[in-house]
Amino acid sequence: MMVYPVQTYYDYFSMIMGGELDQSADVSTNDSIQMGSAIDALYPKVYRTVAGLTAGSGLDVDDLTQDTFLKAYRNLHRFRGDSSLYTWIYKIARNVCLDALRRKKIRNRFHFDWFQNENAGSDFPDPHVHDAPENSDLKYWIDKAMAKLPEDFRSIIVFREIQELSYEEIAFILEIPVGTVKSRLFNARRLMRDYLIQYGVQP
Amino acid sequence: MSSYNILEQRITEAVDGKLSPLEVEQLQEKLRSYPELQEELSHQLRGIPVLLAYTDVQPDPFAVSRLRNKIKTLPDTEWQFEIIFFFKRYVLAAGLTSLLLVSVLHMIPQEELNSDSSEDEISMMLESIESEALDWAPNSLSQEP
Repeated sequence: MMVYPVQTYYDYFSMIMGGELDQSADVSTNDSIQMGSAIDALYPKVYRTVAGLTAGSGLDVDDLTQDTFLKAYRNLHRFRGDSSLYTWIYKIARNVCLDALRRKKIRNRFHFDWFQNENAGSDFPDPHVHDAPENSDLKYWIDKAMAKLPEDFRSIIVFREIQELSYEEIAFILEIPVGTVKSRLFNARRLMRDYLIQYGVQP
Repeated sequence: MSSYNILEQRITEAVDGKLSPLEVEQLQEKLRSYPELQEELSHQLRGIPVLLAYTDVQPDPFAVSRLRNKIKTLPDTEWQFEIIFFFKRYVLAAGLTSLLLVSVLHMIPQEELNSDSSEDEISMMLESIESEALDWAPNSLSQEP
């Protein structure tokens, strides 16, 4: 662990990320505070979230993860502390992904070759043209099923199955009641299983 | 909320291990009248291997240091972000207002702006001020010792 002086907004961000500093703490002093390696721990989680939310879209997961953290950094002063910091970042990640997916959809709509090749820019090429992977490649089929799910179902699968968040945390991120989280999760799991069975993957 | 919805929610809780064995037993009892939900519970209890598929999904090892470098090039204080935010939010409104004002000014006929009547009014006003000043001047001079 390294010791950094609290002098810049970046230090403040890093400490908040590390959970070493309360949001309300006074950071105007130059006290030395140990900067944790929490960004290193949080980054892979956000990366996996982004990968799940954009499964099959062909979007750059790394770019979107960086955008998420940059957006969090820029808006740190807006974090009200009514949730934990990581759920707040997951919420940002979801918004970043939704924006990117929306932009991609619009781009595809105006893409010249769109009508000729609907799979343009997708992670799932036409299996008749390209070789589809073996059934053993679980990630491929999971992604394919995730890509087919409606967005609200996909989000709930990512936050519950990959991130293992509580119903309350998911309710905060998706801005829906806890009861709706449970019902939606029930339907999302059912649909996901149906798709996997269609692809010959037995869950 | 329908009893069907409540049962769906209870199934989710059972799948996520939020129910005690006794509660699961009670749920299964209730599901006897809903064979499709009973079947769904047994399917969902087997789980979907999403987490397993995503275990190996990892960012590249230099991603965090890249992020830190990017952050270091950004503004360093909160108020700088506030200014950027404020500018982005209101610049469009300000631009549109300016455009509207310019358009309104262009729509006013030039004759109205440069009309003779306004010139006449101004010259009459100046004349009256001049005459009042002349009337006042001799009086004020005569009062001097």
